[in-house]
Amino acid sequence: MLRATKHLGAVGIAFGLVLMIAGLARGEALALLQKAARLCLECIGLG
Amino acid sequence: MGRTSLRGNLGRLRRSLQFVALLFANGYWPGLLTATIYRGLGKALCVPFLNCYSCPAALFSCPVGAFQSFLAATRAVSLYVGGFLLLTGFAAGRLFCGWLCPFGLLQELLARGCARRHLPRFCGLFKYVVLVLTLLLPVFWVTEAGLGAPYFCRYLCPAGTLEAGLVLVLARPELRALAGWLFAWKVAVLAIFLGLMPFVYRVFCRTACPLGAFYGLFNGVSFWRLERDTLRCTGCGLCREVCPVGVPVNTNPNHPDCFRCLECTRACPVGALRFTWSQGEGEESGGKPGAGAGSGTILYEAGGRVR
Repeated sequence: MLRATKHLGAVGIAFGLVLMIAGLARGEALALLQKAARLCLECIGLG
Repeated sequence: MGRTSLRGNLGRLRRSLQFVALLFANGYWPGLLTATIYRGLGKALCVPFLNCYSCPAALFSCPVGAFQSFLAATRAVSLYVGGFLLLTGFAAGRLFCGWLCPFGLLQELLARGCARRHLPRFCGLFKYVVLVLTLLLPVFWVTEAGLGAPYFCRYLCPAGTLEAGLVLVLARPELRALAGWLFAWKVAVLAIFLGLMPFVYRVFCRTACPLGAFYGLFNGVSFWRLERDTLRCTGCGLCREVCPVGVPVNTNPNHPDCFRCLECTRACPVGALRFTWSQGEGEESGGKPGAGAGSGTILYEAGGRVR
């Protein structure tokens, strides 16, 4: 049981890494940078 | 250094890392002086804990805010942020809540010795409702223009109110003019949680944090996990007694509510609990606590391996 979940953990980490790289390739990191570098009025309860 | 002293130092190490994470994630000191936010490349990276990116000192992005903002703007899941959440979740589950989260640190600092460990079950389940709403509302609650909003940040997140909202509203008069009923609501939510923190240990994490709820789902399958040696475990229940959030460690060491403070590993008199990356010799087999205590004790004594 534990061995199976260990494998699941490793596969999950790899899957997450692949998704992150795919997101990077789609320019999502840049989109995040543009969003987070501006003051988010909604996030602080002003908008 | 012996294993006992190593375990004794874990508490200090954890507290130190929490402060390091607080200062590292909020290291833009000029922002605090000028009440402006950091605009550098760090904002393209997420941290594995709640840390509002509108905080003037924040160097990185909050994954919950980032994920919701992407959903709200595009009505699509962000592979980048989603992949980050899966990667960190599968790596260590709620370890980040216990060892890095600044808002968790605040709650621990405010908790008194008598802080309540046990909560009614529905309180613990509420965070999953918050998680589902956090994921769904930005897609389904949209304006006529088809735009959603980061509703968790907007209506609930007390970390954002404390780190960003209050600081900016107090420091910038033009923002103070914008503060209306919504800001009052958020301050009230923050005040409620702050008021409960001394009496209920990590009350926000356990009842309303969507990130903690998400990471908790991975506790059972994460690569880094808690292991109970069923041969050594005597079923004394001391681990359960010392757990600050009342997790039944002796029956489910990787319970979704466990935020990996490791107090149980320090308390276990026979060293039956340990945190590990790899599969140990006495793996958690799902047996009853203490089921193998008799034979296990004899085995370890015969082998001269009693600690």
